[in-house]
Amino acid sequence: MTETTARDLLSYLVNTFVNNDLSDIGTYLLPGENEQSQFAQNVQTESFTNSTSAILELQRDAITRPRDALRRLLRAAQEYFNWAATIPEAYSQAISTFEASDQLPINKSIELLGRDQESTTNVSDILRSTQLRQMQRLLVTLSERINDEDDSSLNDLDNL
Amino acid sequence: MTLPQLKTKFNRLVRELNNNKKIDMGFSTIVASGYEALVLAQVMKEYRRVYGRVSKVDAPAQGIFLNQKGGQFRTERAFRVSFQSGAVFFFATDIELFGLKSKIEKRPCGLKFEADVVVISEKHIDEVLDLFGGYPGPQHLDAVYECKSGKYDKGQLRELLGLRRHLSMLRENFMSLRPVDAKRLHHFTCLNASPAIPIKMVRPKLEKFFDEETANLYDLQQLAIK
Repeated sequence: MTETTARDLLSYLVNTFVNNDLSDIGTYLLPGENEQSQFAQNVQTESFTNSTSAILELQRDAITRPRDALRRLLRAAQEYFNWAATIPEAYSQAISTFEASDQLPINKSIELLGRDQESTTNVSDILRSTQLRQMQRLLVTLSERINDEDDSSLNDLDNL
Repeated sequence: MTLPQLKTKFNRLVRELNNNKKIDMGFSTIVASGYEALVLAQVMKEYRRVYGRVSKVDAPAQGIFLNQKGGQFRTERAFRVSFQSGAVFFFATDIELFGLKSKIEKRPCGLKFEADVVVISEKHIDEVLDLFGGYPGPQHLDAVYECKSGKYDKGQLRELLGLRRHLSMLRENFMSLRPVDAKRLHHFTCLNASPAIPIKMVRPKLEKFFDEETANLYDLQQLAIK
């Protein structure tokens, strides 16, 4: 992928994620718990970076290192979507530990009652959807193509 | 695939992920709802660790406990778990809670704060339902969990501090490190809060926004549940 394409794609993805309420992805760009000890210093300097600003700051990084910035965004997006996709199974496993033979079976899928108190939405189904799997595959494949010299390897993305 | 075609493909996927016709919820809110369910199940497991073997579980009617409207505790939208030790608890999501004023006056009054996962001992259920209209007060709560599945920002600790002040008064006896206690939920002892309701912030991964020193003073704990 050329640097120009990486910069263009990064800019597009940043805007798409932020404008479509997917800036939770930015959480996976933040430093982890090992930096908790920096809290006091951060309070004094007001240097906190929240999830949304972590994504937006990638555009600044992309000016000089577009491939690196795109790689970090794709990795964060993969982490977020991969984690989201694990929730139904993690819930099912956790709740299964409470099932006994002498009681009514427990619903293993996560369901949400609508505002009308009548309709329901199956949250587990949405987190197992084809669209989510396609998104996961697309992010993985794009990550693998970042270091290619040109954009020819984007051609076979049609099949995803 | 050209770059414009790639963008079109992303556009379609994002639109479809966010397009849940039955409910007015985007993908990130769906994820947050799923995460609340997962946390509720893990909290039940933690209660089993602390209270011992489970003798019976009554699951919510129709298997539904996540409620988009929410706010009001109802037994048919909660898990009722009986332990062999004799303790019985209800586990529910998205419940609005009365604050200290209602504890002092022993009646439902004042502002309500919503909490994501709430645990109530069965001995309080009749009062919660009959006198408080399904909105528990501090005197009814065994534990409260705030789920933060997505965005992290420094306002979240302040939000938790607000919830603590809503539910408990604070003594200033214990400024030092607290002992790890396996008999307590998530090994964390409440030292300064009265009533000593465990309040936890739960996240898929821990972050630096949680200041341990402040949290210790206010008996707040951050947990990672994946």
